[in-house]
Amino acid sequence: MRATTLKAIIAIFGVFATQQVHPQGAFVNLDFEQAIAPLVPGAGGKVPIARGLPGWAGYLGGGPVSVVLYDDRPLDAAGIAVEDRLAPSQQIQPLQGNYSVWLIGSSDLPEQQQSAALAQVGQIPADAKSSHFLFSTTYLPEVTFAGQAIPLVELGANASYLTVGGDVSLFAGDTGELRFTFPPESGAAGVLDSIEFSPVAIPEPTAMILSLLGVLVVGWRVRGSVL
Amino acid sequence: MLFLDVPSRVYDADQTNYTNVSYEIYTNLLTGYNPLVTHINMRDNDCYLNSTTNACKAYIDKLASFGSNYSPGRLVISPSAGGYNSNTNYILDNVRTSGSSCDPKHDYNGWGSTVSNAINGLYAAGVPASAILYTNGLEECSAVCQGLLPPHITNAVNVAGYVSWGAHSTLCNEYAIATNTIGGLTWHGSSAWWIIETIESLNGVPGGGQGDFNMWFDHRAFGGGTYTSYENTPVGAVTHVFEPGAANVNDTYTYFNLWASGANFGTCAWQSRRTPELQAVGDPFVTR
Repeated sequence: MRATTLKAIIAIFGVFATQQVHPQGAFVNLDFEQAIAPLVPGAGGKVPIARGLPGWAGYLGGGPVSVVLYDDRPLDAAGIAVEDRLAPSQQIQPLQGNYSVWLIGSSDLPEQQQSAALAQVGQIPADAKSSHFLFSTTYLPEVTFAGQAIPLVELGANASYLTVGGDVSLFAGDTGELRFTFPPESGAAGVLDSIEFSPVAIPEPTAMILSLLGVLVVGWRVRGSVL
Repeated sequence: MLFLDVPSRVYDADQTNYTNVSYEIYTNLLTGYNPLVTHINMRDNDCYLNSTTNACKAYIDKLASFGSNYSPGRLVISPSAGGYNSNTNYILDNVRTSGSSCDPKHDYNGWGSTVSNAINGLYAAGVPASAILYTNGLEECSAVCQGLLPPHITNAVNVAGYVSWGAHSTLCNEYAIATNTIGGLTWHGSSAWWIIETIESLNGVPGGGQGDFNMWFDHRAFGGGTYTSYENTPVGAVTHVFEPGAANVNDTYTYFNLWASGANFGTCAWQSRRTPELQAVGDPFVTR
């Protein structure tokens, strides 16, 4: 009898332990490095989202998904995929560290018009003024916090990715859902990584333009002096 | 074998995805067995014939004809062993979209091995290089539909196998049934007994907006407007009933290697399977 009760307690504890429950608080796994290795894809090359993207919820067409693609990308449909630096195909490389996530809204085929989304509930740090993330293409997602859009600006770029940012100062200290949405037919798709909150504000567009002009002027003068 | 009007797919637990019925039978129906389930469920794409069983009947008539002519009295129909052996050419079209006019969704630049792997599979089966017609390249998404110009291979003789990116290239979705004047594929010679695979997620879903098996088995298929009585339809096809993922289409190395080696179609289709979305169309007991 006591053994049965003990087994039941262990079983219940086990269920909770595998649910990847995260108390509401700070966002977790913003760099996607907390994947629970080894990620062994099952049927159709998919892994449980609880192992591949702990702390995150994935949605296709608005409905939650329990599995995501691994080391892959959809040909046409909306999809979410974990990209692993140690995966066999190496077709899509993580942007930083060992893991990134690839997201894509569906194409315009009548069968499959769905959005893809990745979301997590958490608290934005009280001193946060901006949020930054890395993204592999110029086809950016829609980013919302608690249902409100966060306009995005490109802050920088290298050969592999853009650094993209948005003003979150209005939400500092608030708890809500942070969501990256890739609508169907929008073309939005790419590799997402390294989401961060920062106490540094996003530069105003005018400030960015003035900075850029400044760089150009300095560059022109330097070039002129060399010639 | 699952015939016309047997549902080919069911919703999965997430209600966001489909699984092929034949895969469920393959995995769950029998203890200790994984039956190689295939479908004979083709219809003409032509609207006048789409509600008929003509395409199915034509396919079965082809089996009967090749069976009596080349493999009389045998379960497995093997035309190449019985004298129909000039269909030796494998058409591998690796031209796909990529470029500045493509959004990331339509950029398949990094996935060329999906098709090119077939080359080594065929070599391993002893197919000579002269029988492998391979073309490779990238096309802008802004390019006009229908692969009228090289590098697509739109005319071929004595076809034993075919793979392409279909609608993910300027072949667009009606490459199988269009006339050759607008880029439809036209087979000539002994091209009545061959297998096909395309890198299209919805090629098992007629009306899905891409090339599909109804077009491939249509009375006009691969006839370029010249052959309109099922002359050039394939004998086997691997398709998907929902998005498989780029890495999970059938393994072209295995699919074509096994076919060229004399394996039956059921084995070719299921041994090369990498997704539960597989729908194999054709009689499992046919070989090259």
